[in-house]
Amino acid sequence: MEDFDTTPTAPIHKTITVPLPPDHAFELFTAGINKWWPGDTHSLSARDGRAPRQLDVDPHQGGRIWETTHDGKRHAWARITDWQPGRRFAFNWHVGQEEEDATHVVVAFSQTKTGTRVDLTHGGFDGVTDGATMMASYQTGWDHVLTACYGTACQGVVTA
Amino acid sequence: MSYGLILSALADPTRRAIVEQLAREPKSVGELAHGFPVSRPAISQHLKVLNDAGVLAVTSQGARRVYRLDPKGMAELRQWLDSLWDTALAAFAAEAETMAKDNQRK
Repeated sequence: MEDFDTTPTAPIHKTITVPLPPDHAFELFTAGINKWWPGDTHSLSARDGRAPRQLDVDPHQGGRIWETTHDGKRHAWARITDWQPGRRFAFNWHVGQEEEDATHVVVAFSQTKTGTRVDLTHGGFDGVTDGATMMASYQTGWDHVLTACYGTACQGVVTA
Repeated sequence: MSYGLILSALADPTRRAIVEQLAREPKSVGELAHGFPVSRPAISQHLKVLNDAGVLAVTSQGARRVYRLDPKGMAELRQWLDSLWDTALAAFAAEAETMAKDNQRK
């Protein structure tokens, strides 16, 4: 049971390979975020069943990742803590929560024979004492279908 | 543990405050009731809702029942974020494939 208590705080690690050179992959991930981020389901706008008007990644350390919601308001998702174009960037992710409760995401790009390997690590859960509330908070901010609209009251929205 | 149940359980400010207290240290009903301007039966009712949502773990120390947060809550959070990144990175990879094909055509 000891393992069970500690495992949940281990970082999440994901690796994918894409057929683009590292600088292009980096650019698509950051400047091109609107082309691929699933904003319909993962955004603040999604709470209202809408897609974001725009996402922006400030291209420097200390910058933010922004969502411009469907009503034209700008909200910060994260603060960028490391910015090395074509190689890696990192951010403190605090969507739906106070900034001091942020968890940490690192995205590293490395060249392979056929393209780029992207390694994403989401960690910083050790300091989180209350997973249930944190999850609820994330979901309140992020996933309309599973949260505000969970259950019978919102079936119409879920299936629409 | 269900997302919807947790969320509706935490919609109540008193229950949120109870969870915050239990995040700091495990407590009995009596200890919890001490810190809130509501009756002990009301606290018990709130604990029942939180327990039904799977937020709590209960241990008995003699006649005393001690409530703490269920560590599985953290596991659920991690699992949820895990699937979020699966979704996001799959979309990223699909867009990268499209771009690569477009580049080849040029």
